[in-house]
Amino acid sequence: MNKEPLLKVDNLKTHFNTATGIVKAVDGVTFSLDSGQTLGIVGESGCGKSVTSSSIMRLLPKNGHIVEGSILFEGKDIVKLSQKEMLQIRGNEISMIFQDPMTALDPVYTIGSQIMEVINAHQKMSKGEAREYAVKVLKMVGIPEAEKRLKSYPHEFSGGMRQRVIIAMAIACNPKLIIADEPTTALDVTVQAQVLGLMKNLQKESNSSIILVTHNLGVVWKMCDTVMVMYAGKTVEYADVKMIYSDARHPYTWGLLKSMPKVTDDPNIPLASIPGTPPDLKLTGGSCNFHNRCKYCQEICKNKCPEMKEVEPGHFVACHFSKEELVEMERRGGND
Amino acid sequence: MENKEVKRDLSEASQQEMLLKERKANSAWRKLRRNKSAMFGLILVVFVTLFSLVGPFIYRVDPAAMDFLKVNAKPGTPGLPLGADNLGRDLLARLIHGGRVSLIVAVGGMAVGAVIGILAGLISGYAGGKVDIIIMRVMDGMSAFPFTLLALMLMTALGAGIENVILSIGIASVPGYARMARGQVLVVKNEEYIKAVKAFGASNSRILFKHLLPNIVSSLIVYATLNVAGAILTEASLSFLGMGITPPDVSWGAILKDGQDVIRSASHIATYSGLAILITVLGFNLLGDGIRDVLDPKMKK
Repeated sequence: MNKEPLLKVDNLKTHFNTATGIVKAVDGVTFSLDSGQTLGIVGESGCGKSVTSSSIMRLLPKNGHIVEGSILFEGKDIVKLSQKEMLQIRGNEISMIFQDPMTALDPVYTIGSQIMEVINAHQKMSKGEAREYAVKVLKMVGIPEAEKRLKSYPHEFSGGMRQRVIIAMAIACNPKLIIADEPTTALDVTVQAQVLGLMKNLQKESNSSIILVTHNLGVVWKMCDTVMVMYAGKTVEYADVKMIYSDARHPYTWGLLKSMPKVTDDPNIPLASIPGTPPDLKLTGGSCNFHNRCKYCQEICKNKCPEMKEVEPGHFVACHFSKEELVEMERRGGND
Repeated sequence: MENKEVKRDLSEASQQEMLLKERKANSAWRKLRRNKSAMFGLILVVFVTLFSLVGPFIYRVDPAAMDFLKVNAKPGTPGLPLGADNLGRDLLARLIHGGRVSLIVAVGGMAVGAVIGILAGLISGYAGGKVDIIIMRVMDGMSAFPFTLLALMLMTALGAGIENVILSIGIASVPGYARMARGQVLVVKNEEYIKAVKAFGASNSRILFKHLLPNIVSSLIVYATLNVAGAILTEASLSFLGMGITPPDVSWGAILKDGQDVIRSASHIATYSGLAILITVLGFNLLGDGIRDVLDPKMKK
């Protein structure tokens, strides 16, 4: 076994230049991912989950720049590759599944020609071979009568079916890494499980890695091996999925876990939430980003940004306090 | 209508059949067929096209042959179905040949304008930034002149001749296409499927011509159809002002100008050439509106 992880992101910082200042959308994200593993990235809206994945694809808007850090993919630093070299990586070695299947397919082409376009962009195949291959991938993602459906247009499919087609496009070139940006958010609950199950099965067959960006902690539990919790552009906790659920160390992670509704909850008790809103990303950096919403906030939190610490093997947390100290504060009645 | 009752079951085969039927019924051509005014426009356009393209082979009269005994002859004079003009030339033959030139100039001008304008608009909208600013400022500068005036100035610079009329009408209509294309690109380039195509490794030129262009082409077709009508009028205006088609070539605008001098004594010259222009412009306008109804679902009632 190769010891080197497939993807190693180290202290990634992606900033956006805007008229009113620099938006630190991603401001220190660190994680690594082995082949065949699934990483979940969770966090609330606007915390930099999607920017992290766009950074890995190098598909940032014009005013966005990776200002620091490295993204090592099989040892190559993606940050340093030219756009031309990226063309060979996108869709071929790293591909992406999008949030909204209703808009992620070009409406003027049949799905067959769209899948074949991806195949032809990266592999030398004759038209007939590409066609056969497209049918094969469509069958893999469970589209019935794949042969006939090649000639269908996107609007003739339901949302779940379209997401399958997009997955087919994503796996067409056997990528080593698939980034799925909230792949089930726009789907019916009944279809969500199907799509997730499909992704899991395909992953087992091809041994590819998945980065799953999601709001849904239930999905993370079902799909992922490791989890990265992001808050306001930073990694706040990164650990094995079991550790996160059994032994979370960061107050934000606790808040997230607590706000997950359960079927067994008493319907008369209001749903738990984390009070307040995330900070303006133009103002972050000088303090712990979570301090204004954290009930354990101390003087140090307002003045110093916490470093990532490895509290046990494979479990990283960015908080000034250890779990024991936090529990002690909780016992004494929160903020003192 | 073909409302053959379909077998009612939910098998895969009949669903497939339904899908095909629906696709056929909703095809652009079928929708156009259902639109009465568009079909009327199409008939006019086809009629005018046949009139001027096939006409010369059926009505074999030299449009330049003068007969001074028949100057300003009224319609219905033996051998002259629509009469003769101020130099005694057969008016029907002149309308047929003039239609050829008018249509070629209009369609050619549209094509020149569309190709340059759409290309400029695509690049401008997709590249953004400085490229966008430079291209669009040039277009703004061009559209600061009234359309006909710009075409007139270009004609003065280029000199007479059919090619130059095509070129000047084409160049004068570039800004319209560029604006249209740019505006549409700005909308479409932020669609998720363009991001998806990028994420699957498509190059810039591929995105531009294979994904952006086909997605904006429907509104451009509408604009181009309406633009043909405008180009016919511009050509007529240029020729009417003496800056367009020059003898021995004829065009409807040139005939109209010939008729202007004798409009009191021989009104049929100006009437018939004006009518030809009217029918053609009306045809293209109705057709253009119809195509818009068909291709732009947002305009649907």
